[in-house]
Amino acid sequence: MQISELAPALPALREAPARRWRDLLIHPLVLRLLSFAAVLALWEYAGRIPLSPAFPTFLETLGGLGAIMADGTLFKAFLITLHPLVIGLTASILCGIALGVLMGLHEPSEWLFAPIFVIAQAAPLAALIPILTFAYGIGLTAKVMTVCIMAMPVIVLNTLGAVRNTPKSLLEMGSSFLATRSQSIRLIILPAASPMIFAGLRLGCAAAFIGVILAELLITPTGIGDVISYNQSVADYPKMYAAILSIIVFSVLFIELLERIEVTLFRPEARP
Amino acid sequence: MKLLRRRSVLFGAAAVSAALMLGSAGAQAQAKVRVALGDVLSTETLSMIIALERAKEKGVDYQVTHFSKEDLAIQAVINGQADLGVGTPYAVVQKSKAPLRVLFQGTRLVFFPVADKSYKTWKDMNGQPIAFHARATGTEAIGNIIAKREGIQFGERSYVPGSENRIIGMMKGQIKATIVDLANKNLLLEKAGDRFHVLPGVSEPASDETLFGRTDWISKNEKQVDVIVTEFLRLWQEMAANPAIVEQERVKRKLMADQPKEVLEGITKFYTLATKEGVYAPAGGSAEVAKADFEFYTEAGQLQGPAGELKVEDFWYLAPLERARKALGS
Repeated sequence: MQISELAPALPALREAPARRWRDLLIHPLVLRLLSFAAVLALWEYAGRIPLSPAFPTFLETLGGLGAIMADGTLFKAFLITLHPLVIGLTASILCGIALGVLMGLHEPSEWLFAPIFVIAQAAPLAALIPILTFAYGIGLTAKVMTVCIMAMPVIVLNTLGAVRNTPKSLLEMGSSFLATRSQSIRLIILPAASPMIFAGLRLGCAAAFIGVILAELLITPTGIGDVISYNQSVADYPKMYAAILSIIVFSVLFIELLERIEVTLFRPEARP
Repeated sequence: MKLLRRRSVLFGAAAVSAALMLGSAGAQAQAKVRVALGDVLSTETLSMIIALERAKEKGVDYQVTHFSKEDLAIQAVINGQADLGVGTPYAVVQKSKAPLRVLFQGTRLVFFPVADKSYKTWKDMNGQPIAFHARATGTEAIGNIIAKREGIQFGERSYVPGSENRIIGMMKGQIKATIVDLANKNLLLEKAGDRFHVLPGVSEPASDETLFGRTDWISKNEKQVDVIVTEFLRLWQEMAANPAIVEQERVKRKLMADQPKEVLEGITKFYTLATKEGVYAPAGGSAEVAKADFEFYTEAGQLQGPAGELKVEDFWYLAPLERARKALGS
């Protein structure tokens, strides 16, 4: 390389390490970790001021988490909480998708069912819980119903929208190829609707988590709801916050997993 | 432009006067003693409201906020949204070093173990299922103390909040034994006395609802605290002599006017029984009462023991009560 060629290349060479640092700093993973670190640092600071004697620091909460994990309380509580959650969510997914598809294909059914789900979606659930306990008592049924009321409207309405919004061009193509009604449902409508139905499932799962914890806090304290309310009543706030943190982390991981599945199955363009 | 300037001056003046008005409203509200009550106004809490009403007549105005749970009332006091609270703050004081002190023992945990008649004594309850209010609460602590005393162990423990719900469970045959409050024990025996009976309970009941406050607020408002504690003690002593005083005072002050006739008619009956059974102890608390509470709440799992090492002054502030006793000559 001659000196005359080297001169213009020098600034670029000098900038190379700086650019590498900048690339590393704006890497999605680094930014995400920074975002978590900022929130946790704020939490730790707020606990140390202290914001309130009843607000533990992040490190104390981690200690509490360690304690409820070590004595097995957390795992037992999760098993109990998952019981109504799994039943309610399975029922919501099966009935929700079936109803949504039916409403999408058959307009009279939409007029018949859609208002119920629109109202259920808009209603504040905490206000409905006393009615649920009057109807179903304080047992498992009331909790399953709470999960269903939270999860089902999102799933049904998303499925309905997905089926209704099948691209016209695809349906016209089906008619041109003389597809029967069942063929166009199986081969065109359902595959085209799948991504949006799946997005509805993801939202439905998030709503189901909210439902089950609300039920456990407002109906009878069981599972994670029991760990939260028990530790509140004995003023063991690190353990109480640890239980809240654990259910948030669990819910986020579960929703993240669903999103991964969704991307793998239906959104090749979003894959990294 | 001129118009715009004039408008902005006007707007500024309006904002300043609004802020001043809000400020003075805030100061007025601040002058009232804010009391957090973890319950609605009911027969049981009526006496506390009457004591506060009497304090108001002595110049200490108050404002009660009702919360759905006692825990919320305690949090309101800790965070400075209320000055005094009604509840049992022992666990919060010990575990999160909240600067709260108990001033007066309002009610005591007078609860009655009730069981199916097939369980003749506590020995028959060995290994048998029993229902309590919730984990680590007074009813479970009473159960633990009895189990220790009798040398037995209960079988499966279930938790059903509310004495009224537990006696429904008993009458439906879902619960065989539990611990309920005075009113529901009487109701159960009245409705199904042929099937259920009362087993021996604990002799010295611990504090249930206490009047407590934040230490910094108490030290700045000693006079107000003295008036309130004196009125509580005065009413509690009057109740012991004449339980009908609560109903008389209620009528005079038109309290609970929206309640049905049946509830109002039951007030004197309730206070007659409750004072007889020791729910409202006329002494209002002492160092001995505090120590007995430490024993009980350590057993309940709310306090970490050993109970003998807990100091009364870390949980109670007895000076206003002592001054009230002197003032009343008791």
